[in-house]
Amino acid sequence: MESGRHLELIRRIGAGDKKAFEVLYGDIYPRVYRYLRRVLGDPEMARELGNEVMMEVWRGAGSFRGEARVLTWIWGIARKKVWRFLRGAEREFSELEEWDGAHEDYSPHHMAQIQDLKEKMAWALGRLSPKHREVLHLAYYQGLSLEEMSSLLDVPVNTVKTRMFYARKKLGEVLKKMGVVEHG
Amino acid sequence: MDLLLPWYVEGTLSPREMEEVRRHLEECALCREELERISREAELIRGVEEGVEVPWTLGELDVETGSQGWWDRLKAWVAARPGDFLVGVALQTALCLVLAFLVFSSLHGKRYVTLSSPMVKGAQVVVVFHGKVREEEMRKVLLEVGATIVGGPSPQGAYKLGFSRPLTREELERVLEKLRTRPEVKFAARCGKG
Repeated sequence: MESGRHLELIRRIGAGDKKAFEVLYGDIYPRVYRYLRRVLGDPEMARELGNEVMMEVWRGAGSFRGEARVLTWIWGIARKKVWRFLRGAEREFSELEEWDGAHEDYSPHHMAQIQDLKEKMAWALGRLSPKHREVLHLAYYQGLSLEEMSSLLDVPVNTVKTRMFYARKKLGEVLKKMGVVEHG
Repeated sequence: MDLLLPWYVEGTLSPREMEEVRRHLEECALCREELERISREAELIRGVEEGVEVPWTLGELDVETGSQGWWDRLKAWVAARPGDFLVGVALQTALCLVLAFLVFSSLHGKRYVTLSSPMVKGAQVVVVFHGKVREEEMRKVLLEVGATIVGGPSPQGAYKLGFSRPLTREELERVLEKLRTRPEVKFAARCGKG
């Protein structure tokens, strides 16, 4: 069972086993990095915070009691770090939720440069606020359930549902402006 | 119901919710269309995320983590032990400390110099105490004159006393005079060179 394997790795890391840490790093770090990268939108900051998350896993493994899944614990660490970093910028980004994208280049010329649908989706995701990017990422890529997201985001389940609704709505608006009519 | 569709697509709803949505989809064409859109959207987003290149930073962490210091290892060891074990260790440690204290205080409490004390340089006085004198009273007398027992008791109850340094004749006389005035002392005399 995956969580049992992670638990065993954490136990060994708690005893100072660097090899176990390397194994866990290989398992977890790509997911942590991609989460940070998606929410922050900045690869260098994602790298820095990703290292901080793994360092905290290394230091905290000895006192991890297994009350939650290992992944849940690590998500908690990552989320705390990323939102502490964004706290000052959060007001700015929440204003962007109202913004109609007038300053973005949705011109046919610019859009023609983004050939691939995946690239278009990546560009569109970058136009969303961190909260909206986060909820889409956690549900579709990390596969977190409603309850897990509610616990991690520290909001009621209904808030997660409505946040996802508005994230999808916003994503659809951006893709429509880009001429990707499928999501209209 | 449509708000649950993103998690229905991912299969991460509870079994009860999965069943409720499945039954709803059988009757609602709009939700079925929405489900299609969400499926494509989710697949695209997963593809985007998988395409994000991940830097390998383990080498950076190696330098910073190094090996855990002895304190971190001790904390980890303690944290990994069950509570009962730790209580047992704490009790044993407390017991050891109590025993150590008792041993230490017995060694450094009352100054009890054995008959073969290396501090004393030979016997210069012999003294006999009255029979009913307690040890504490004997010690008090010896402390007053600065003497320690270096020999005895003989079958007659005589103790040889020594001093930290050889006393002069005059000093010895003063010590003897003092001893003889003590009600605890039955007899006190010089015993020649010790």
